[in-house]
Amino acid sequence: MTNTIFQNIQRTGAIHDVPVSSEVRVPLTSHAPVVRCGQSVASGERIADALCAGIGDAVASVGGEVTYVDSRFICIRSGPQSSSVEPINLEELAGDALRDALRRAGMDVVGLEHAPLLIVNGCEPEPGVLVGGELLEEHRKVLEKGLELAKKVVTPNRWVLAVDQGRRAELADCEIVDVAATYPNGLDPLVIKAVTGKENPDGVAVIGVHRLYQLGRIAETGLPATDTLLTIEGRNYKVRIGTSIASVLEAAGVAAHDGDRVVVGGPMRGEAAMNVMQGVDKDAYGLFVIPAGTYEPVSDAPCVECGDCVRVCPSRIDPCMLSSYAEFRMFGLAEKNFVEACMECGLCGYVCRARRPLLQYIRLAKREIEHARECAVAAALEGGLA
Amino acid sequence: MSLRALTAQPILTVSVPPHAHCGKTVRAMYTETLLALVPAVAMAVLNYGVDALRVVALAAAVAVIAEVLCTRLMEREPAVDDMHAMFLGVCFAFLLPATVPWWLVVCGSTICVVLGKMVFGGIGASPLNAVAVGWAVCRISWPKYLDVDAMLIHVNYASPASSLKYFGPATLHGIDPVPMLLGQQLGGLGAVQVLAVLVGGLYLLARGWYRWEIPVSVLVGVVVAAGIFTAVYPGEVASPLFHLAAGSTLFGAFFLATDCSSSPSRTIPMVLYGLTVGAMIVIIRVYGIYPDGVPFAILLANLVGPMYGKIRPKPFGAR
Repeated sequence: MTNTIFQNIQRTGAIHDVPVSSEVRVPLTSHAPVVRCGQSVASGERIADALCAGIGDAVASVGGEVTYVDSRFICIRSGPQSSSVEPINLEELAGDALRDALRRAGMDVVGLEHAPLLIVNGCEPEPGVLVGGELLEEHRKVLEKGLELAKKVVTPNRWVLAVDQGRRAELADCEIVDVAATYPNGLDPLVIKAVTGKENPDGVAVIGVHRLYQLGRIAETGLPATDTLLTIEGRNYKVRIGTSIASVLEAAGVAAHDGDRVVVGGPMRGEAAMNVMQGVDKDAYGLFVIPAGTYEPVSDAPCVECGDCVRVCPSRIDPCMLSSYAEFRMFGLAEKNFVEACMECGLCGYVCRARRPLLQYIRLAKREIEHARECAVAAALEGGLA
Repeated sequence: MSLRALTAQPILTVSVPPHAHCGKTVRAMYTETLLALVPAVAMAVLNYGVDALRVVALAAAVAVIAEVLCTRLMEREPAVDDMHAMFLGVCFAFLLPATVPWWLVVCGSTICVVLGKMVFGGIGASPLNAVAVGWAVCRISWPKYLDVDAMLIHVNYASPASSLKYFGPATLHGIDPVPMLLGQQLGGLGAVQVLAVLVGGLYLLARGWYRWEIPVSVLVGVVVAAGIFTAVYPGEVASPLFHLAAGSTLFGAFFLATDCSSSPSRTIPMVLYGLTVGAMIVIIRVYGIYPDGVPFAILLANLVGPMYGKIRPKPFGAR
C-alpha cells in the first residue's frame, strides 16, 4: 500500500529550461478570443478577453502568426513579429487600477483585494511538486518584486510568508510562519488557519509563490509573464506557456504511452490532459505521467461506508454521504450537509476503497447548487422587471 | 485503430482528480479479512474436527450463490468478486455449532445475504449487521439446533457461557482458562477460537483495514460493564476477564461490530457504539435468556448507531 507519488521526492539539480517550440497553444478557460487566424501578434499581446471577473486575459507567449483559434486554445506559430508590446508603467498605478492592469497582463487576481493581512503561501501545493522551494531559494529577487506589487494592490498592514516546516526561507521583511509539510496543509484555507488560527476569516488575501513569481516577472519587465515553472519527476523546468506537453515531456526525457494519464498540475487536484499536443497553462506547477494500470480504475461502485473519507476530510464534512446525494441528484440535501465547505483537496477520492469519484460528485453538487441559485436570482430579477 | 492513423501521439486516458490512490480496494479488504479468519478456521478444525470445515465451506458457498441469484433478480451486475458475500458466509458459520444440520446452514447463510444485505440494496447499504441478522433469525426459529450445549453434547469441552447462565459463577472455578483461550469451549465453531480470532483481528488493525476505536471500545465496554456488575453484586456475576475470553466476545468485537455499513465513522460515535456493544454483551449474559448473545448485542447497538452518528463536528469555516 505504498504510493510512489506520496514519497518524499527531493529536488535534484538546477532549474532546466525547456526550449521554446516553433508552435505554442495558449489554453483558454473562459475567454473570448480577440485575434483571428493569420493575424500577426507580438509576444505579450492580449489575444483573448477573460469572461469571468478576476480571471486574467490570455496573452501571446511568443510573437508570430496565429494559426488556429477556438474556445479552448489559440495556436501561434512563432516567427518574426511586426510590432512589440509597450511595457505597463506600474509606477503610476495603484489599487483597483493596478489590479485591472495586471488582469489585462494575464494575471489571475481572484482574492487579491484590499485586506489587512497578506499571506504569501510558500508551501508546496501538492505532493511531488517542488516549485515552491525552487522559487523561494533561487528566485527570491523576483518574488520580492512581486511582493512589492502585491502589497500595492492589497495594501496590508501585516504580511506573512507561510512555508513548509523544516524549510529555511526568507522573503523581504515577511514574518515567517511554519506550516506542517504534509498534504493538504499547504492549501490556502489551511494556511490561513495556520497563520490566523481562524477558519475562513475575513480580511485575508493569499497569493501562492507560483503566482507571486508571475507578478514579479511583470514587475521586472512591465510585460506579461510568459513562463511557468513546473516539476517533472523531481526536477524543475521553466516552460513557455502554451508549449505542448509532448515537447515538455521530451525535454524531460519522460515518455507517455497509450492509456497513460498525463496530469497537468498535481496528483491530487490536477487536470488530466486530453492529448499530448495540449499546451501547458500558466497555473501548471507540475506534470505527472501516470502509467496505465497503476491504479484501480474509478467506477460507479456503491459506497461501502468504511468511513475513511469522513475521517480524512480537512473540511470535516461527510464525502461519502454527499457523493450519494449528488449521485441521486438530491442537491438540496447536499447543500444542507455543508457540501460547500469542501476545499477540494481530493483526499476523499484518494482513500476511497470503492474507487468512487468522490471529489467529482462533490464538485457536481456544488455546481448544481450554484446554478440553482443563479436561476433563482434571474427569476427574481425577471419578476421585478415585469 | 482508426485513432492511431490520425495521430502519431499516444492516446491518453482522461479521468477526474485525484489521480493518485492509496491502493486500498474493497476486494483487498475482504480478501485480507478472510485471510485473517484462516487461523480461527484451522483451530476450529483442530478442536471440532472436519465437521467445522464442512459448515464453513457450505455457508461460504451458499452465501456467494445467494448473492449471485439476488443480483440476477435485481438485474444488476454480480459483484461477488468483492469477496463480501463469502466473508458473510464464513462469519455466519463461525457462530454455528459444528454439528449443525446442512439445511440450517443453507437457510441461515441465505438469510444473511438476502435479509441482511441485499434487501437494503447491497454492500454498504445495510443498517444492520448482516451476519447477526442471519444468526438471530436462526436462533429464534430453530433454537434447539443453535443451542451449543445440546448440539455439542458429545464434545468433552467446558461450556463457560452456559455454566455461568445456568449454574452461576461458582461453577466457573473449575474451568481452566488455557484450553478456553485455545478454543476448547462449547460455542460457535469459529467464534470461540479466542486466541486465533485475536491474532486475526490484530492483523487487520495493523494493516489499517479497520480502526482500533470500535474493537477496543467494545472490549472496554465489556470490562467496564462486568466490573460494575461484580462491584454491585459480588460473587453473583463472573469477572470481566471471564467475559472477554468466553463465547464470541472477541469475534464480535473484531469481526462483527467493525462491519462498515452498520457502524459509525467518526471517533466519538465509534467509541460510543463500541461501548454500547460491550455493555449489551454483559447485560444480555446477566439478564437475558441467551447464554451468549453477542450478535443480539450488536444488532441493538446497530439501532442506536445512527443516533451516535449525529454527533459530528461543525464543518470547516462554519459560523
